[in-house]
Amino acid sequence: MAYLIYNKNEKHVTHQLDYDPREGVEDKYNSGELTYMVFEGEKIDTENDFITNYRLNAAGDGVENPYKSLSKADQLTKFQDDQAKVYAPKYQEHALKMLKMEVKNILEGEYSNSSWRHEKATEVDLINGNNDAMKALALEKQAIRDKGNALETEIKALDPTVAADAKTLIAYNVTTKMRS
Amino acid sequence: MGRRVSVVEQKTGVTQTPKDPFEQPCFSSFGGWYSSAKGWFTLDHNLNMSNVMVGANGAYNSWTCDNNSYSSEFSNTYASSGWIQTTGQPGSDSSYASLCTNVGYLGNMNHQSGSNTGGNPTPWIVGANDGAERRSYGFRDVCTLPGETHQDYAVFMQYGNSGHFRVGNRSASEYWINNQYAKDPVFSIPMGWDRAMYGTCSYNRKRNKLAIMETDDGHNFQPFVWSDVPNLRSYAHSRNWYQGVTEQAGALDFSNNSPLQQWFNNNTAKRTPASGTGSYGSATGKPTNQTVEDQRRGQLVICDNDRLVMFQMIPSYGAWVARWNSPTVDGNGNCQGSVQNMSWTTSYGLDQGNRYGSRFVQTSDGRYIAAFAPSYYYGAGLYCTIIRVSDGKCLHTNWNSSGDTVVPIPYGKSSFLMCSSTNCDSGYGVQFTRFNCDYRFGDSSDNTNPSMVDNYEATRHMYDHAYYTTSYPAFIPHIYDTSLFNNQTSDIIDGYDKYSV
Repeated sequence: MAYLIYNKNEKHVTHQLDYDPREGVEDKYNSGELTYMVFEGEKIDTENDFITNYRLNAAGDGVENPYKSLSKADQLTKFQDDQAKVYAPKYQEHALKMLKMEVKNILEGEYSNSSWRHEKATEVDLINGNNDAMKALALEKQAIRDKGNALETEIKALDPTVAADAKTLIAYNVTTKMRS
Repeated sequence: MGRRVSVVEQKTGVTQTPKDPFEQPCFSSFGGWYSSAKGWFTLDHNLNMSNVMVGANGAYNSWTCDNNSYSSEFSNTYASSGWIQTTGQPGSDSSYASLCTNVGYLGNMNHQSGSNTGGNPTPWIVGANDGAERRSYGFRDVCTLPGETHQDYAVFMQYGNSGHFRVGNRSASEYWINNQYAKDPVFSIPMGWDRAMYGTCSYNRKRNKLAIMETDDGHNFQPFVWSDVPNLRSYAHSRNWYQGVTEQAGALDFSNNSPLQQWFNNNTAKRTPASGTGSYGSATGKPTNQTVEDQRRGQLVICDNDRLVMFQMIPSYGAWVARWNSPTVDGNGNCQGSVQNMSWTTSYGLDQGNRYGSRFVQTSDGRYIAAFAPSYYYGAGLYCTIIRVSDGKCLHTNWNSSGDTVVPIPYGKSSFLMCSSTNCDSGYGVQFTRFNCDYRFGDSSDNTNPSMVDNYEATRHMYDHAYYTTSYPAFIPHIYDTSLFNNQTSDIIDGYDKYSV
């Protein structure tokens, strides 16, 4: 008999104990704030079984390993695929937030009304008596917005429930993409 | 800008009131993204705020963290480097700031520690890539100091036939200078069997003993213990390697004149024998052999009763803990075998670079040492063994996370904070829990798991973080005056009152 500790963030069993870690924890926090759930069950043989493949069953009242019959190497692959799907939604949300911030930073920083680019374009146009430089600057800014929009579409097109897309989302570097 | 709240009050004459040990900086949490906010929150040993330093891009604040012309050299040059980013989990990259392998007795290899008694306690980034790589040598080679109440120095051991041993400041940066540029001598310690291992050495100053784990480089280990060892702390402070030798105009050959080197050369009789009475046996019970990490490294502790404990990470297996009997207390120095195997999946150590592998930290009173290693890839998850120095009792935890990690940080007199890299987003902030060693070693049996990592959510909504969205914090243990916890606390000054009346 063991207490299997299921982590609500990671969405799998992280370890097993021979006692209940909720002992002494104030009851009012038991259901809401705790990062983990505790299930009493048979001790997992970690030499031959992959403990982190134990996830909540459909009813949510126990944990089970659907890959128990596979080798540990194959279980690792399954675990990494499934885990990427767990983490990916947060990374997708973060990438979209970062993208907007990145575009805003570039436009408000390097292309702001007080930037050297703006000042130079204004003066060049003043000297030449036209608005060519400011128009070129505006086109550069529009290209940045277009790139941001294209990347937003790219990020949204990645499906966090598909393992390959999930891994792409986790490795997605908004800054590198915007600056490339 | 933040401010220092720890002060040294000047009294009459030259007498000063020592600082309250609990008001010293304990650790800093770090978070950030270069084109947004970045900074440190520093807590003291009361878990009160000691200092805050947060920067933003666009020069809105006292300093900027963006790679623009307003920022510092390192922020400008290394801004986009993963070494100073906290936007991804430690399990998803080999370089993120929050890897548990960045933390150890020497602080955090990605951050210069803040000053304890002067200036600003807030850390500062090193130049990522090269800076962290340079400081990682110290993290690889530093050895435990069980029972040490004055943790203001460090001893180091490198792998090699004659034991490349060094004594110096508790500084990874200084170790790099000494190690790579020969600015301090290296001591050759005569081996009892074959060769020394990286960092697998333990100096117990109370007992004047130095334990060295030797290996034949075939995953076999044989410990030797030197007795009546000179005061290494004294050498670390003075750095006078010709201490006691008459000064003269001519050059003195180091190996024939340095008292410390001479001591090792002339006192092999004070080293435990390879066999027979008083000897330690070879290590037994190692579950498997994998890589250089478990061939040439480990965390060794010599306990007050002469028992030895060695924690070793075994990459892509897990970790194991070997313990030896005490020749004096137990009547023999036999290895008890593996007292704990911890195993899960793929993990990486020294083979992937000096920045990876097992680490250790120790409580302010030196009575407990926590050895730890990642359980997943480069720095996620946790295998941790805490060793009680008085008798070698061990408690263990095996936390299998592919995303986050938990790192032990010395706290108060004899506790650790177990600090989680869990996402600070959703208004949670920095999350950690506490492990009171005296309490848990008291109510737990030897070689059990007393839940070191559970309930790290206890601090939710209480400790802010420098970055406003998804962020997995890094932790920097501070280097403070540990002696104050051993001579300025009430249990020492007023005596321990066993009964409250």
